[in-house]
Amino acid sequence: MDDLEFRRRLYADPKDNNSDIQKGIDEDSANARFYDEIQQLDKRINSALHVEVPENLSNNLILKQTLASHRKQTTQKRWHLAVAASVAFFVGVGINYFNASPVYTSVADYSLAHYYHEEGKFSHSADGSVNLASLNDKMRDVNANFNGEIGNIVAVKDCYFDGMDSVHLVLEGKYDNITVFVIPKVQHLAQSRQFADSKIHGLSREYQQGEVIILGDKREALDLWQQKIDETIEWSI
Amino acid sequence: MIQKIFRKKSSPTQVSNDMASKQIRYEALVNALHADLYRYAFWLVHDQHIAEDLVQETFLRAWRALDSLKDEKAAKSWLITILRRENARRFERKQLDMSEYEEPSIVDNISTTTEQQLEDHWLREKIARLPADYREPLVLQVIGGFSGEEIANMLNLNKNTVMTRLFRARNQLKDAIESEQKLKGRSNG
Repeated sequence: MDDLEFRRRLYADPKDNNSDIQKGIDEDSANARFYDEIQQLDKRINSALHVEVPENLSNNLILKQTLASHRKQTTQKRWHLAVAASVAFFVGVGINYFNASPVYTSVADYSLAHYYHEEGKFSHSADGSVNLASLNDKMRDVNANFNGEIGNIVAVKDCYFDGMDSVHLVLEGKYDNITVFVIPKVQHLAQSRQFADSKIHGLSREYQQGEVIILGDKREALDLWQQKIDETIEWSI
Repeated sequence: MIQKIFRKKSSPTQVSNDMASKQIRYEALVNALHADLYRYAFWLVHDQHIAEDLVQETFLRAWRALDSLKDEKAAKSWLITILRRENARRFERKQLDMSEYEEPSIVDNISTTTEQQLEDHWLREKIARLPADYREPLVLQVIGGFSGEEIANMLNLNKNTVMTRLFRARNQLKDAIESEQKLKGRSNG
């Protein structure tokens, strides 16, 4: 290695301790002197570059971080709460919408679906547990009552007729149970006076304040039932 | 069942343990490296307060990204990279001129200054007058303890360029010192 290269190398990195640098020092006293000079220079540079660090800088750094992450945590908590609240809100709205949204497009379709859904859940004979008074008690939900006996009642229950508060009546029929729905005025379902499928048929009559749907076995004389109900039902406002 | 799932996911003690260990890592990082980082920032911007702000901002960013720091050995160059980016951002925010080299309060009480401090003071002015391109590798080498190759990586230069700049930086400082000694010699003699 020539002198120039030796110097360049040490200027660039005084700590360069490759064997060829060591060899340069050993072989040439001028190089050795230069090596000492450069170490001296680097010591001065090192000292000059090490400016004083502000007191408490490390403490301030830790403090700032602690404050910042605390602030972040609290805003994060608030943010989480907001997200949870809006999720809950939309779940609520969604469930409501899902429950209340009309799936069926006509009274007939819905009645049939409802009928088959509950098929077999009721006994075929009235046990006398439901009388006119308890029937009328339920009927208040749809602002109606019966002023006389309409038949042997197997069961009465509140039901959601496609999202509307309604009364579901099960009466003793000749061949099978007769199902009667008393529902509020329907706007979103198409009306049909008569409907049927392969097994059962149904009739519906619209009143000012509501509607009565009667379903039963094909052999049942539903018009007689309709007539009976028509005679006894009274609507209140 | 539900309770089990929740407990598994994040028990509060687990979370606070993670936070505590992160805090410990962070504090170790601050204690070990804040001085070097401050000095690097100081030589970058020549202003104590801006340097301090830069270091603050750098460590805050470092805290947020602390999980991404896998190799503790690489911490110093990682922090310097963050700080350089922060400094670049400072220039984007407003078109700042590099402030003139000042040394307030570093040598504030002249009465208690030692010869070493006077010497440092004099040399600091010379270092500040070096072109920034020469000064930065020098600071990284002397304060950061980085090799030529590491500096080349950090500054996106090739190693030969870095070595040339380091050579020129020291060469210019040596010339300055020598001409100063000549001047002194003349006025003394």
